[in-house]
Amino acid sequence: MIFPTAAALGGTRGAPALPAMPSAPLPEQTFFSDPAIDRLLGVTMALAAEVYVLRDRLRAIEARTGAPAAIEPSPDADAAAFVARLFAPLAGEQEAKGPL
Amino acid sequence: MSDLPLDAESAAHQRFVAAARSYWRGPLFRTLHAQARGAPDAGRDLVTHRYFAWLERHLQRMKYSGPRGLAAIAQRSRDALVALPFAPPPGLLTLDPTLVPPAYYTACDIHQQPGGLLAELGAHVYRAGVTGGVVDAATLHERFATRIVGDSRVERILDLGCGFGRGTLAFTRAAPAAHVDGVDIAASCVILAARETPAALHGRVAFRQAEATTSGLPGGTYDIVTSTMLLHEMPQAAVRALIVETARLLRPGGIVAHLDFLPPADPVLRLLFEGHARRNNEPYLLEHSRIDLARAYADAGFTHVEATPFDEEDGALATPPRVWRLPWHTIVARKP
Repeated sequence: MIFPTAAALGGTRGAPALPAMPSAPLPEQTFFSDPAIDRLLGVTMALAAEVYVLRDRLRAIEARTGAPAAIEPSPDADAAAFVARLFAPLAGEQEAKGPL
Repeated sequence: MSDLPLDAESAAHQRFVAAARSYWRGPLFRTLHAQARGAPDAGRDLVTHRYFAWLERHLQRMKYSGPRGLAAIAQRSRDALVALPFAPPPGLLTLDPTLVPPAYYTACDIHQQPGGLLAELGAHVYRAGVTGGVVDAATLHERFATRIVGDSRVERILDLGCGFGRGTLAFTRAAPAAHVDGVDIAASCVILAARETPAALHGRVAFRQAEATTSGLPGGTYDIVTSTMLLHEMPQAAVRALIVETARLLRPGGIVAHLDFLPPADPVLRLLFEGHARRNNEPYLLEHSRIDLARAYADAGFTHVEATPFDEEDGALATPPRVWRLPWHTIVARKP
Protein backbone atom coordinates (compact mmCIF):
# COMPACT_ATOMS: atom_id res chain seq x y z
CA MET A 1 0.00 0.00 0.00
CA ILE A 2 1.19 3.48 -0.77
CA PHE A 3 1.17 6.10 1.96
CA PRO A 4 -2.28 7.58 1.62
CA THR A 5 -3.20 11.17 1.50
CA ALA A 6 -6.27 12.05 3.45
CA ALA A 7 -8.23 12.29 0.24
CA ALA A 8 -7.03 8.88 -0.94
CA LEU A 9 -8.28 7.31 2.28
CA GLY A 10 -11.50 9.20 2.01
CA GLY A 11 -10.77 11.04 5.21
CA THR A 12 -10.97 14.66 4.27
CA ARG A 13 -14.03 15.59 2.42
CA GLY A 14 -13.12 17.94 -0.35
CA ALA A 15 -9.76 18.79 1.16
CA PRO A 16 -7.98 21.12 -1.22
CA ALA A 17 -4.47 20.26 -2.31
CA LEU A 18 -3.78 23.97 -2.23
CA PRO A 19 -5.83 26.39 -0.17
CA ALA A 20 -8.28 28.31 -2.26
CA MET A 21 -7.32 31.88 -2.95
CA PRO A 22 -9.47 34.26 -0.95
CA SER A 23 -12.14 35.90 -3.04
CA ALA A 24 -11.44 39.31 -1.56
CA PRO A 25 -8.27 40.92 -0.20
CA LEU A 26 -7.65 39.92 3.39
CA PRO A 27 -7.54 42.76 5.90
CA GLU A 28 -4.10 44.07 6.80
CA GLN A 29 -2.81 44.14 10.35
CA THR A 30 -0.75 47.22 11.01
CA PHE A 31 1.40 48.11 13.99
CA PHE A 32 2.73 51.58 13.24
CA SER A 33 1.07 54.98 13.04
CA ASP A 34 1.48 54.96 9.27
CA PRO A 35 0.80 51.73 7.32
CA ALA A 36 3.59 52.79 4.99
CA ILE A 37 6.04 51.87 7.76
CA ASP A 38 4.51 48.40 8.08
CA ARG A 39 4.78 47.81 4.36
CA LEU A 40 8.28 49.25 4.07
CA LEU A 41 9.41 47.00 6.90
CA GLY A 42 7.96 44.10 4.94
CA VAL A 43 10.09 45.09 1.96
CA THR A 44 13.15 45.42 4.20
CA MET A 45 12.62 41.96 5.67
CA ALA A 46 12.07 40.45 2.23
CA LEU A 47 15.38 41.97 1.13
CA ALA A 48 17.10 40.76 4.28
CA ALA A 49 15.89 37.22 3.58
CA GLU A 50 17.18 37.48 0.01
CA VAL A 51 20.56 38.69 1.24
CA TYR A 52 20.76 35.81 3.67
CA VAL A 53 19.87 33.27 0.96
CA LEU A 54 22.52 34.76 -1.35
CA ARG A 55 25.03 34.74 1.49
CA ASP A 56 24.26 31.07 2.14
CA ARG A 57 24.69 30.15 -1.51
CA LEU A 58 27.95 32.14 -1.72
CA ARG A 59 29.28 30.24 1.28
CA ALA A 60 28.40 26.97 -0.45
CA ILE A 61 30.30 28.01 -3.58
CA GLU A 62 33.26 29.19 -1.51
CA ALA A 63 33.38 25.86 0.24
CA ARG A 64 33.62 24.08 -3.11
CA THR A 65 36.46 26.31 -4.29
CA GLY A 66 38.49 25.72 -1.16
CA ALA A 67 38.18 29.28 0.09
CA PRO A 68 38.89 29.83 3.80
CA ALA A 69 36.07 28.68 6.04
CA ALA A 70 33.52 31.14 7.34
CA ILE A 71 34.08 32.71 10.73
CA GLU A 72 30.91 31.25 12.24
CA PRO A 73 31.19 27.56 13.00
CA SER A 74 27.80 26.47 11.68
CA PRO A 75 25.01 27.68 9.40
CA ASP A 76 22.75 28.21 12.41
CA ALA A 77 25.39 30.29 14.19
CA ASP A 78 25.98 32.27 11.01
CA ALA A 79 22.25 32.97 10.69
CA ALA A 80 22.06 34.05 14.33
CA ALA A 81 24.99 36.45 13.88
CA PHE A 82 23.48 37.83 10.67
CA VAL A 83 20.14 38.46 12.36
CA ALA A 84 21.79 40.05 15.39
CA ARG A 85 23.48 42.58 13.10
CA LEU A 86 20.25 43.15 11.19
CA PHE A 87 18.08 43.77 14.23
CA ALA A 88 20.56 45.62 16.45
CA PRO A 89 19.04 49.06 15.60
CA LEU A 90 15.59 47.98 16.83
CA ALA A 91 16.51 48.47 20.49
CA GLY A 92 17.26 52.16 19.85
CA GLU A 93 20.51 52.04 21.80
CA GLN A 94 23.68 53.93 20.92
CA GLU A 95 27.13 52.41 21.11
CA ALA A 96 29.13 55.57 21.76
CA LYS A 97 28.76 58.36 24.31
CA GLY A 98 27.66 61.68 22.90
CA PRO A 99 25.06 64.42 22.86
CA LEU A 100 21.44 63.65 22.17
CA MET B 1 13.10 19.52 11.25
CA SER B 2 10.49 17.57 9.38
CA ASP B 3 10.00 15.27 6.44
CA LEU B 4 9.66 18.19 4.05
CA PRO B 5 12.51 18.02 1.55
CA LEU B 6 13.99 21.49 1.29
CA ASP B 7 15.85 22.88 -1.69
CA ALA B 8 18.93 24.92 -0.77
CA GLU B 9 17.27 28.32 -1.12
CA SER B 10 14.20 27.33 0.88
CA ALA B 11 16.41 25.81 3.57
CA ALA B 12 18.37 29.07 3.81
CA HIS B 13 15.16 31.12 3.91
CA GLN B 14 13.72 28.96 6.68
CA ARG B 15 17.01 29.17 8.60
CA PHE B 16 16.86 32.96 8.36
CA VAL B 17 13.28 33.03 9.62
CA ALA B 18 14.10 30.66 12.49
CA ALA B 19 17.08 32.81 13.51
CA ALA B 20 14.94 35.96 13.29
CA ARG B 21 12.28 34.35 15.49
CA SER B 22 14.92 33.38 18.04
CA TYR B 23 16.11 36.99 18.16
CA TRP B 24 12.50 38.20 18.41
CA ARG B 25 11.59 36.01 21.38
CA GLY B 26 15.00 36.34 23.03
CA PRO B 27 17.05 39.56 22.88
CA LEU B 28 14.27 41.76 21.47
CA PHE B 29 11.77 40.48 24.04
CA ARG B 30 14.20 41.11 26.90
CA THR B 31 14.81 44.65 25.67
CA LEU B 32 11.07 45.26 25.41
CA HIS B 33 10.33 43.78 28.81
CA ALA B 34 12.97 46.00 30.43
CA GLN B 35 11.74 49.12 28.62
CA ALA B 36 8.06 48.40 29.28
CA ARG B 37 8.23 47.88 33.04
CA GLY B 38 6.78 51.01 34.54
CA ALA B 39 5.90 52.48 31.15
CA PRO B 40 2.33 53.72 30.62
CA ASP B 41 -0.13 51.05 29.50
CA ALA B 42 2.49 48.30 29.93
CA GLY B 43 4.55 49.76 27.09
CA ARG B 44 1.89 49.40 24.44
CA ASP B 45 3.06 52.52 22.57
CA LEU B 46 6.78 51.86 22.79
CA VAL B 47 8.51 51.69 19.43
CA THR B 48 10.12 48.43 20.53
CA HIS B 49 6.66 47.00 21.17
CA ARG B 50 5.57 47.93 17.66
CA TYR B 51 8.58 46.17 16.19
CA PHE B 52 8.00 43.16 18.44
CA ALA B 53 4.39 42.95 17.28
CA TRP B 54 5.26 43.44 13.62
CA LEU B 55 7.90 40.72 13.73
CA GLU B 56 5.58 38.25 15.45
CA ARG B 57 3.00 38.73 12.74
CA HIS B 58 5.28 38.77 9.74
CA LEU B 59 7.90 36.19 10.70
CA GLN B 60 5.02 33.74 10.97
CA ARG B 61 3.90 34.81 7.50
CA MET B 62 7.42 34.41 6.13
CA LYS B 63 7.61 30.92 7.64
CA TYR B 64 4.40 29.62 6.09
CA SER B 65 3.68 31.70 3.01
CA GLY B 66 5.44 32.75 -0.16
CA PRO B 67 7.49 30.62 -2.56
CA ARG B 68 9.92 29.56 0.18
CA GLY B 69 7.22 29.16 2.82
CA LEU B 70 6.34 25.78 4.27
CA ALA B 71 2.96 25.53 2.51
CA ALA B 72 4.58 25.93 -0.91
CA ILE B 73 7.46 23.63 0.03
CA ALA B 74 5.00 20.93 1.06
CA GLN B 75 3.06 21.35 -2.14
CA ARG B 76 6.20 20.99 -4.25
CA SER B 77 6.97 17.83 -2.27
CA ARG B 78 3.48 16.40 -2.54
CA ASP B 79 4.29 13.55 -4.88
CA ALA B 80 7.17 12.40 -2.67
CA LEU B 81 5.09 12.69 0.49
CA VAL B 82 2.17 10.67 -0.81
CA ALA B 83 4.48 7.97 -2.21
CA LEU B 84 5.83 7.07 1.23
CA PRO B 85 4.95 3.48 2.01
CA PHE B 86 2.39 3.00 4.77
CA ALA B 87 0.22 0.05 5.70
CA PRO B 88 -1.59 0.78 8.97
CA PRO B 89 -2.38 -2.40 10.89
CA PRO B 90 -6.02 -2.99 11.81
CA GLY B 91 -7.20 -0.68 14.56
CA LEU B 92 -4.43 1.85 14.33
CA LEU B 93 -6.24 4.38 12.16
CA THR B 94 -9.93 5.17 11.74
CA LEU B 95 -11.01 7.93 9.36
CA ASP B 96 -14.43 9.49 8.98
CA PRO B 97 -15.01 10.65 5.40
CA THR B 98 -18.39 12.07 6.39
CA LEU B 99 -17.02 14.42 9.02
CA VAL B 100 -17.87 18.04 8.30
CA PRO B 101 -15.71 20.37 10.39
CA PRO B 102 -17.52 23.08 12.32
CA ALA B 103 -17.64 26.55 10.80
CA TYR B 104 -15.65 28.03 13.68
CA TYR B 105 -12.75 25.82 12.69
CA THR B 106 -12.73 26.66 9.00
CA ALA B 107 -13.38 30.39 9.30
CA CYS B 108 -9.76 31.30 9.94
CA ASP B 109 -6.31 30.03 8.96
CA ILE B 110 -5.18 29.37 12.52
CA HIS B 111 -1.52 30.23 13.17
CA GLN B 112 -1.49 31.85 9.71
CA GLN B 113 -1.00 28.38 8.20
CA PRO B 114 -2.61 28.63 4.74
CA GLY B 115 -5.47 26.16 4.56
CA GLY B 116 -4.90 25.08 8.15
CA LEU B 117 -4.73 21.46 9.21
CA LEU B 118 -7.65 20.47 7.03
CA ALA B 119 -5.62 20.88 3.85
CA GLU B 120 -4.33 17.65 2.37
CA LEU B 121 -0.77 18.17 3.62
CA GLY B 122 -1.79 20.30 6.61
CA ALA B 123 -0.17 18.09 9.23
CA HIS B 124 3.16 18.02 7.38
CA VAL B 125 3.15 21.81 7.14
CA TYR B 126 2.16 22.16 10.80
CA ARG B 127 4.85 19.78 11.99
CA ALA B 128 7.50 21.64 10.06
CA GLY B 129 6.10 24.91 11.36
CA VAL B 130 6.14 24.07 15.05
CA THR B 131 9.54 22.42 15.01
CA GLY B 132 11.94 24.69 16.84
CA GLY B 133 9.18 27.17 17.67
CA VAL B 134 7.48 28.40 20.83
CA VAL B 135 5.48 25.18 21.34
CA ASP B 136 8.36 22.82 20.65
CA ALA B 137 10.32 22.62 23.90
CA ALA B 138 11.95 19.21 23.74
CA THR B 139 10.62 18.15 27.13
CA LEU B 140 7.13 19.65 26.96
CA HIS B 141 5.01 16.60 26.15
CA GLU B 142 7.08 14.19 28.21
CA ARG B 143 6.93 16.45 31.28
CA PHE B 144 3.20 16.89 30.99
CA ALA B 145 2.46 13.21 30.49
CA THR B 146 4.79 12.12 33.27
CA ARG B 147 3.32 14.58 35.75
CA ILE B 148 -0.26 13.65 34.94
CA VAL B 149 0.25 9.90 35.02
CA GLY B 150 2.61 9.94 38.00
CA ASP B 151 2.92 6.52 39.53
CA SER B 152 -0.76 5.67 39.19
CA ARG B 153 -1.83 2.56 37.35
CA VAL B 154 -3.60 3.68 34.22
CA GLU B 155 -5.36 1.45 31.73
CA ARG B 156 -6.95 3.78 29.18
CA ILE B 157 -6.06 7.30 28.13
CA LEU B 158 -7.72 9.53 25.55
CA ASP B 159 -5.86 12.44 23.91
CA LEU B 160 -8.33 14.91 22.40
CA GLY B 161 -7.13 17.15 19.58
CA CYS B 162 -4.07 14.95 19.31
CA GLY B 163 -2.54 16.65 16.27
CA PHE B 164 0.19 14.52 14.79
CA GLY B 165 0.51 12.51 17.99
CA ARG B 166 3.26 14.12 20.03
CA GLY B 167 1.24 14.10 23.25
CA THR B 168 -0.40 10.75 22.51
CA LEU B 169 2.94 9.01 22.15
CA ALA B 170 4.30 10.79 25.23
CA PHE B 171 1.43 9.29 27.25
CA THR B 172 2.21 5.82 25.93
CA ARG B 173 5.71 6.22 27.33
CA ALA B 174 4.51 7.66 30.64
CA ALA B 175 1.96 4.87 31.11
CA PRO B 176 3.56 1.78 29.58
CA ALA B 177 0.64 -0.50 30.47
CA ALA B 178 -2.05 1.78 29.06
CA HIS B 179 -3.95 1.82 25.82
CA VAL B 180 -3.99 5.35 24.39
CA ASP B 181 -6.50 6.73 21.91
CA GLY B 182 -5.82 9.91 19.95
CA VAL B 183 -8.63 11.89 18.35
CA ASP B 184 -8.31 14.80 15.95
CA ILE B 185 -10.64 16.53 13.55
CA ALA B 186 -8.01 16.67 10.80
CA ALA B 187 -7.47 13.55 8.74
CA SER B 188 -3.98 14.68 7.80
CA CYS B 189 -3.06 14.75 11.49
CA VAL B 190 -4.26 11.30 12.46
CA ILE B 191 -2.74 9.82 9.31
CA LEU B 192 0.64 11.36 10.11
CA ALA B 193 0.31 10.34 13.76
CA ALA B 194 -0.43 6.74 12.79
CA ARG B 195 2.43 6.71 10.34
CA GLU B 196 4.84 7.97 12.99
CA THR B 197 3.74 5.44 15.62
CA PRO B 198 6.55 2.92 16.20
CA ALA B 199 5.61 -0.64 15.35
CA ALA B 200 6.27 -1.64 18.95
CA LEU B 201 3.26 0.47 19.98
CA HIS B 202 0.84 -0.99 17.44
CA GLY B 203 -2.01 -2.56 19.37
CA ARG B 204 -1.58 -0.07 22.21
CA VAL B 205 -2.35 3.13 20.32
CA ALA B 206 -5.26 4.05 18.07
CA PHE B 207 -5.94 7.24 16.15
CA ARG B 208 -9.40 8.34 15.08
CA GLN B 209 -10.64 11.24 13.00
CA ALA B 210 -13.46 12.82 15.00
CA GLU B 211 -14.56 16.01 16.67
CA ALA B 212 -13.46 16.11 20.28
CA THR B 213 -16.97 17.13 21.38
CA THR B 214 -18.60 14.14 19.68
CA SER B 215 -15.87 11.52 19.69
CA GLY B 216 -18.18 8.50 19.36
CA LEU B 217 -15.98 6.62 21.83
CA PRO B 218 -17.56 4.51 24.60
CA GLY B 219 -18.52 6.32 27.79
CA GLY B 220 -17.23 5.57 31.30
CA THR B 221 -14.06 4.13 29.82
CA TYR B 222 -11.06 6.33 30.41
CA ASP B 223 -8.82 6.86 33.43
CA ILE B 224 -7.42 10.05 31.88
CA VAL B 225 -8.84 12.33 29.22
CA THR B 226 -6.23 14.84 28.15
CA SER B 227 -5.51 17.53 25.59
CA THR B 228 -2.63 19.78 24.67
CA MET B 229 -3.26 23.16 23.06
CA LEU B 230 -6.89 22.31 22.28
CA LEU B 231 -9.12 24.45 24.51
CA HIS B 232 -7.84 27.78 23.22
CA GLU B 233 -8.66 26.73 19.66
CA MET B 234 -12.36 26.41 20.53
CA PRO B 235 -15.10 28.98 21.15
CA GLN B 236 -16.72 28.98 24.55
CA ALA B 237 -19.77 26.95 23.54
CA ALA B 238 -17.53 24.22 22.13
CA VAL B 239 -15.42 24.18 25.29
CA ARG B 240 -18.54 23.68 27.37
CA ALA B 241 -19.64 20.84 25.07
CA LEU B 242 -16.16 19.34 25.45
CA ILE B 243 -16.47 19.38 29.23
CA VAL B 244 -19.77 17.50 29.01
CA GLU B 245 -18.26 14.96 26.61
CA THR B 246 -15.26 14.54 28.90
CA ALA B 247 -17.56 13.80 31.83
CA ARG B 248 -19.25 11.13 29.70
CA LEU B 249 -15.99 9.51 28.61
CA LEU B 250 -14.28 9.29 32.01
CA ARG B 251 -14.86 6.46 34.42
CA PRO B 252 -15.73 7.46 38.01
CA GLY B 253 -12.55 8.68 39.67
CA GLY B 254 -10.92 9.47 36.34
CA ILE B 255 -9.24 12.80 35.69
CA VAL B 256 -9.28 15.31 32.90
CA ALA B 257 -5.95 17.06 32.29
CA HIS B 258 -5.53 19.89 29.81
CA LEU B 259 -2.28 21.62 28.93
CA ASP B 260 -3.17 25.05 27.63
CA PHE B 261 -2.65 28.78 28.04
CA LEU B 262 -4.04 31.08 30.73
CA PRO B 263 -3.34 34.82 30.80
CA PRO B 264 -0.25 35.87 32.79
CA ALA B 265 -0.45 38.33 35.68
CA ASP B 266 2.55 40.45 34.63
CA PRO B 267 1.01 43.39 32.72
CA VAL B 268 3.71 43.41 30.03
CA LEU B 269 3.40 39.67 29.47
CA ARG B 270 -0.37 40.00 29.44
CA LEU B 271 -0.18 42.70 26.77
CA LEU B 272 1.99 40.44 24.62
CA PHE B 273 -0.25 37.42 25.23
CA GLU B 274 -3.37 39.33 24.21
CA GLY B 275 -1.59 40.71 21.16
CA HIS B 276 -0.44 37.21 20.25
CA ALA B 277 -4.07 36.15 19.82
CA ARG B 278 -4.61 38.55 16.95
CA ARG B 279 -1.14 38.39 15.46
CA ASN B 280 -1.00 34.59 15.34
CA ASN B 281 -4.59 34.12 14.12
CA GLU B 282 -5.87 32.62 17.35
CA PRO B 283 -9.51 33.69 17.11
CA TYR B 284 -10.64 32.05 20.36
CA LEU B 285 -7.62 32.56 22.60
CA LEU B 286 -9.03 35.61 24.37
CA GLU B 287 -12.46 34.02 24.66
CA HIS B 288 -10.76 31.00 26.18
CA SER B 289 -8.98 33.29 28.65
CA ARG B 290 -12.30 34.57 29.91
CA ILE B 291 -13.87 31.19 30.64
CA ASP B 292 -13.98 30.32 34.31
CA LEU B 293 -12.83 26.75 33.77
CA ALA B 294 -12.95 25.89 37.46
CA ARG B 295 -16.58 26.95 37.59
CA ALA B 296 -17.42 25.18 34.34
CA TYR B 297 -15.90 21.92 35.56
CA ALA B 298 -17.57 22.26 38.96
CA ASP B 299 -20.90 22.83 37.21
CA ALA B 300 -20.30 19.60 35.28
CA GLY B 301 -19.85 17.73 38.57
CA PHE B 302 -16.06 17.59 38.67
CA THR B 303 -14.06 18.06 41.85
CA HIS B 304 -10.47 18.96 42.74
CA VAL B 305 -10.17 21.50 39.91
CA GLU B 306 -6.65 22.95 39.75
CA ALA B 307 -4.94 25.29 37.29
CA THR B 308 -1.17 25.31 37.76
CA PRO B 309 1.61 27.13 35.88
CA PHE B 310 3.58 24.65 33.83
CA ASP B 311 7.31 24.86 33.13
CA GLU B 312 7.76 23.32 29.71
CA GLU B 313 11.52 23.28 30.28
CA ASP B 314 13.92 24.03 33.12
CA GLY B 315 13.85 27.70 34.10
CA ALA B 316 10.76 28.48 32.03
CA LEU B 317 9.02 30.22 34.94
CA ALA B 318 12.00 32.41 35.85
CA THR B 319 11.43 36.09 36.68
CA PRO B 320 12.17 38.15 34.68
CA PRO B 321 11.49 35.80 31.78
CA ARG B 322 14.49 34.81 29.68
CA VAL B 323 12.44 34.48 26.47
CA TRP B 324 8.92 35.25 25.39
CA ARG B 325 6.85 32.14 25.97
CA LEU B 326 3.26 31.07 25.98
CA PRO B 327 1.76 30.97 29.51
CA TRP B 328 1.40 27.22 29.82
CA HIS B 329 -0.87 25.87 32.55
CA THR B 330 -2.14 22.46 33.48
CA ILE B 331 -5.87 22.37 34.17
CA VAL B 332 -6.82 19.22 36.05
CA ALA B 333 -10.16 18.04 37.47
CA ARG B 334 -11.51 14.77 38.83
CA LYS B 335 -14.79 13.06 38.05
CA PRO B 336 -16.35 11.82 41.31
